Amino acid sequence: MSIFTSFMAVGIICMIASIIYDTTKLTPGHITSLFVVIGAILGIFGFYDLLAEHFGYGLSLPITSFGNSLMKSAYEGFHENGIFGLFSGMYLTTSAGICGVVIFGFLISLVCKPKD
Amino acid sequence: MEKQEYLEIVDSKSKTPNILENAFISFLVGGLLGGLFEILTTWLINLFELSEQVALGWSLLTFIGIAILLTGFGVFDTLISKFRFGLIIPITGFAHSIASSLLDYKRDGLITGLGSNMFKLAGCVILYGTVSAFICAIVKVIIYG
Repeated sequence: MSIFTSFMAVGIICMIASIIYDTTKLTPGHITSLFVVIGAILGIFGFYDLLAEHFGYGLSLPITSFGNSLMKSAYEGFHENGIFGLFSGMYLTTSAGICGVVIFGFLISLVCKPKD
Repeated sequence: MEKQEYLEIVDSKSKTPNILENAFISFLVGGLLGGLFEILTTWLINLFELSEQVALGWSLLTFIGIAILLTGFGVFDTLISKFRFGLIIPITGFAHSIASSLLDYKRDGLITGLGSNMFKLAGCVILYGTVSAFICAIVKVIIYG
């Protein structure tokens, strides 16, 4: 059942992005930045986590969850270390993703050649 | 050729985007990835008895790895031009943007090529993610304490 709700949730987020792209003059870069910011804002009142609870793990996949987890870990860092925690806690949960992209990307760039 | 005439030809040749079709394709592809992500995560939790957080991390890494591998083979660019936001909005788009700028600037060398151009496209996500998360965290601290 949660497979279906994940399907719907991620599909709808992608659909909104596609509609924004076709009706305005924003580039994909603008739209992904916009979605990250929206994710962080939805995290303020815990709305994104509420959605994730009801729709399943699929909601961790779109880029909106990146903003949400940055915000959440900065907030949790504040409770552990005060103002310093805002800085030190920021990348705690997203570290795996960013590090994975950098490592895998570097390895593949050493092995593969760009297409012309 | 007169300018007016030229603009008319450009107008007649450029396709107006089919909003409904694009939206439907993005919905289908994005949803499919979301469903697969859900299956993979529950499978990891049940089979290896991982905690939710770790299982989510492994699933994300799997999706990132596949996206970067396909980018390296040159397949992912054609997939993105077909399915567009179904692949750009999930984490695969983020992975693709880094891998493709790495491949594009490979010929400029390891330092001036790879090192300094890695975040050319993905930088906006990290910059605005960090800034907005910082501000939102402060707002949340003010509201909830």
